[in-house]
Amino acid sequence: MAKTVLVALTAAPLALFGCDSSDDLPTSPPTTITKIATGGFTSPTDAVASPDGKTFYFAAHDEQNEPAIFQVSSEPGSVPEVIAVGAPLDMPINLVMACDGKTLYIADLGSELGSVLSLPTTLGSAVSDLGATGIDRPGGLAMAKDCKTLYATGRTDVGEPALFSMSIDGGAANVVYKGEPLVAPSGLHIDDQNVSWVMDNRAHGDAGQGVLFAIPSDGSAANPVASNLRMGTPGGVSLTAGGGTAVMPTRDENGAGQLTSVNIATGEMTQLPAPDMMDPAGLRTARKAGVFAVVDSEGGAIYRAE
Amino acid sequence: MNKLYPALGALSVGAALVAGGGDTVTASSHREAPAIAEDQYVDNTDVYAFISPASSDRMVFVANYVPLLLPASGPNYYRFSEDAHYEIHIDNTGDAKEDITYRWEFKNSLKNGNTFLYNTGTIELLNDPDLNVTQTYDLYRINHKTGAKTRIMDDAPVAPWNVGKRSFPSGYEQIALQAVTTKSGISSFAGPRDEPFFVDLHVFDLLGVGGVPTTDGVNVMSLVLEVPITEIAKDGNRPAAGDTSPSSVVGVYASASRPQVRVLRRNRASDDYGNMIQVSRLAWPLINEVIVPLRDKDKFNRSAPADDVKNFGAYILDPEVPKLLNGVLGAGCAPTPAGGRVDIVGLLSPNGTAAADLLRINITANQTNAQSKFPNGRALADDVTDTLLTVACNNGAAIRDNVNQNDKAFTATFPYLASPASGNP
Repeated sequence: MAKTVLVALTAAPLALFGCDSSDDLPTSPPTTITKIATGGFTSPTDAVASPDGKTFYFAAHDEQNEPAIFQVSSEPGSVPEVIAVGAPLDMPINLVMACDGKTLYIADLGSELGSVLSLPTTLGSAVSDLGATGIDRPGGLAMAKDCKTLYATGRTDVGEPALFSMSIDGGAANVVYKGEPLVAPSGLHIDDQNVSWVMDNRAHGDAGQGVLFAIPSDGSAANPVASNLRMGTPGGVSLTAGGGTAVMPTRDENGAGQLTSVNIATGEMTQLPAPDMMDPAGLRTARKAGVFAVVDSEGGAIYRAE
Repeated sequence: MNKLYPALGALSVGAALVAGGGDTVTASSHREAPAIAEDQYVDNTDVYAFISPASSDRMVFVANYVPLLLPASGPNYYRFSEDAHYEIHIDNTGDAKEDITYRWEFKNSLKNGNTFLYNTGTIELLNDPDLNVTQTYDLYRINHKTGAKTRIMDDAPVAPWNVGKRSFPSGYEQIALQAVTTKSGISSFAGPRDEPFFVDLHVFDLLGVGGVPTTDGVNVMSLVLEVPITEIAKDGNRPAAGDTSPSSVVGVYASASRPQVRVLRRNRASDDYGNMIQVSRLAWPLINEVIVPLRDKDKFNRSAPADDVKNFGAYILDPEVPKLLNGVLGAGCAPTPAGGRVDIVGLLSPNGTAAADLLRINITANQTNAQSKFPNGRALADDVTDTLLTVACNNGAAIRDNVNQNDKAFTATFPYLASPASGNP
């Protein structure tokens, strides 16, 4: 595999790297990837894992083509179960799990401006709109270490691509960073220092289109970390424990699915081939288990990597 | 005769001598696939590549989009799509993978939203305040070897639609040509032009054609680019005369891409999200039109040339066209030989390049405009229908349509295409 990712180590503040000191996250990039569920849903966009990694939750369309949130065991051959369907879900595109595993937060592109929704993971619960203001078209979500703050990608009211922070209780979203070089930000990860690791589908970096940016908590810059990433929609990224490695679902130059891992310190890049995946997209780690949840949006399947 | 394409030697002679074995034509790539027929503004209709008639050191690319446009199509006249990427790709190493891409991204502007008029008065200048609806574009050059993306042009103007004589009392073309933008030795034009492809579209009525020039009088949206050949050659070096290596030719195709996710809103403009997905592509005329069958036409538009052999090779090796010519017109086309039509594959892979649907053109130092004839590139006046049908029939006789030239003359100066038909002549 040609090394096509450039890491802008020299241009980025040192404080951006090695910040995710949590020992809850996976300690190393995944070495295996296994399909755990397919059928009964189409076009999954993002998946998250319960803290123990035993249950995955994902957004997709059900067999009646209604927007829905599913849960499924992370064991191969599992059958997904709908836990919420229909309004106020419209176009759920990105998920994040509360630290205690009891609530899902959902970025939904639909309705007039999009919305940030919440859903308790207990069966029979209802989806609620957090009523976030000041953010249009939320397309990516991540949970800060304080477990009280959501970070989101989206647009300002004049359409600028931006990174926001907001309370898990909703209310006003605060702009952390906006404008260039962001073009079309989607999935993101927040490390222990509240550095945002943002996937941008259409930004162009030194090595090509598709960029991973690191944005410090003060929003002082959007530093390109890796580019020429053939990411899915939405782009997914998680850092391993210690913040040493960013793991991203991508495609190789021939279009085959893979998980790309970039060593933040050295720029070394490795791939875990996943040729069965047609369009690997959203990716999340379990908070207390060495498990990654990944979707194949075009192939209509959920995968477990570890 | 171009030495790269010995198989066409017989064709050229035959075409000059033989009245066709049947009257049949086809269209290049206008509304050729089910999905793109529903998305007209990004339908790539034709691609041309020829060495500039003004300078043998320069290459001209033409990529046309939005097919079969009626001149009187107001009040919302045709334009390029604001949320699409329009691109011309160049392979300069012979592996059928893009090495350089030129990308146009368009932006719409409206001066006065309180009128239905495209222009609120007569237009005397391209930047006339009475020209109400306008477009501009940014033009980028992407080097896939280095990853560098360079903005060549910023907010360059798009030529307006030729609304009619009342709107352009001093003439349309002198205003349209103000949209020619030259920067750093690169010339670009974007806007409506006369449809240069000549054809009888009655072919799709069971090959029932009679030389009716059905594309006369209609317009198309054109992107025209003229660049130094060193800009597109491998490592920036034009190959020497006589070079027959894979990098002695460049392969060209055009494409259009749309956002992967579009969200329609009830009370405001739509939004988009995610990657750009290719929805149309074209190099040789007629490949997706009449070689690729219906079941795979949309796949062709989404796919990359480097995968053509794997995806569509069987259709090239055993094309449907000669069988139809025999069945409907009794044209006497040769049966597909054992091993298939490797002669066509050879035309698609000159000088050791990978076989793919790319419009390949020799860029060595001795090449001139006069040598830019399909399939060594494609000139505006090339009768590619005759050429390709004759190749497909493969019986030594020429297959001709009776539409042999465009209704309007092409020009000797950039952007070379004829002025578009007027909506009110």
